[in-house]
Amino acid sequence: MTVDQAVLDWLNTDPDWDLPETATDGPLAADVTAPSAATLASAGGTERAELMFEYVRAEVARSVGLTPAALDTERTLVSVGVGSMLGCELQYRLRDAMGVAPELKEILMAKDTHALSGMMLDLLGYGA
Amino acid sequence: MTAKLAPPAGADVWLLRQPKPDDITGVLDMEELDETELQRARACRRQAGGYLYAAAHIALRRVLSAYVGEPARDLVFGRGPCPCCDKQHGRPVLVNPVSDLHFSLSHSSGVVLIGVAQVPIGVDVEKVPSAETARVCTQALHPDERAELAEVPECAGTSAFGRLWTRKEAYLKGLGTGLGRDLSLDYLGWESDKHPEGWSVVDVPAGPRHTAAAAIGYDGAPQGPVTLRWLPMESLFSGSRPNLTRRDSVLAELAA
Repeated sequence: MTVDQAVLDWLNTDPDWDLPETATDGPLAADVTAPSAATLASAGGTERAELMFEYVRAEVARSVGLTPAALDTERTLVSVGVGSMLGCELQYRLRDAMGVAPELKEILMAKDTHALSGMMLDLLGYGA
Repeated sequence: MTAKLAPPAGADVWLLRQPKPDDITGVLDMEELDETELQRARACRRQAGGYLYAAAHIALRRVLSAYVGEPARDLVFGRGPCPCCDKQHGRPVLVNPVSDLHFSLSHSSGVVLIGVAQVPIGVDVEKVPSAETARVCTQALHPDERAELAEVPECAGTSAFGRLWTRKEAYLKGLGTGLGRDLSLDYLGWESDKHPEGWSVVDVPAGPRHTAAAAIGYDGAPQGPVTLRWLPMESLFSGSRPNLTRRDSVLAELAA
C-alpha cells in the first residue's frame, strides 16, 4: 500500500511549526482576581456589572492565553478560541472563584463575554 | 461527478492535516460553502482558526458529496432532534439530498476529522492539552475515569487525558446530546466492556500532537471495520477534482 507523501511529511516534520490556537503571553493564573461576594453585594448595579465583567473577561482571556485588553469581548467564546476543553476549564475556574458557573454548553454558546458575565450575575441572583 | 463511494459497512473516518502555511499550494474553494459557513469562518479571531474552519467544512461537503453523488455546494445541512428535549439541535443531518448517511465533524489546531457511517457516529479530535487544563478538566469526568487517570505516569498524563476526553466527546456527539450531557455520567475509560451499551469507541491515530476518537452506535454487533482514510489538502482547492475512492487513501483499519 502506498501512503500519501503528505502523511510521511507530517510524521517526520518538526512539530514546532504547529500553529497554536492560543498564545502563551497571557497573565499568570495568580493575576486573575475574582471580586468577593461582599464586594458584589455592596456595589450598585452598574458597578457590580463592571466588576463581574472585568473578572469574567480576565478568566476568558487567561483561558485562551491573551491579556484581557487583547480579548475581543464582542465575539462568541468559540470564535475567540474557547473549545470544549478550555470551556470546561473555564467553567471550573468560574465555579471555584464564585461558587456558581453556567453549564458547559451554555458557556460554549455564549454570544460574547458580556453575555457570559450576565449569566454569572443571574446565577448569583443579581439578574435584571 | 467522479465515482461514488459506497456507504461503509462499518465506518469511514477521514483525516485531513493542514500543511505548514508556506507549504499550502492552492486556494481553498470557498464557493463550496454557504453564507452561514462563510460568516463563521470570518468570525474566527485568528486567521489560522478561520482557515481551518473553512477547510473543515469544505472537506465535509466534498467527502459527503462523494457518498451521496450530489455537488458539494448543493448539500444542505440541518439538525436532528435533541435526545434530551426533542428540539431540533441534535446531531447535524443532511437535509438535501435526504440521506440516511450519518456523519460527524471535528477540527482542532490544524487537524480535521470526519466520520461517516450508516449508523449514528461521533468523532472528536483535540490538540493534547496543557497539564493544567488536563488537571482542571479531569474533575468533570466519570469517577472511574478519574481513578484510571490517577494511575497514569505523569509524563503520559496529558495524552491519556486527551484520549479519554476525545472518546467522551465523540460518544456524546454520536448520542446527539453533545456537551449538554454531564461528562461524569458515562464511562469511556480503558475497560471497553464497561462502555455504554450499543456503542463502539475507537482511538484514532491523529499524529504526534493530537488525540482523536470515533464512537459508532451499532445496533448490535459492528458490521465492518473503522477505516481511517487520508484526505489530501489539495482535494479542497479550487479547480481540484478529488477522487476519494482511491485505495491508497486508506491509512489503517481500526478494530471496532
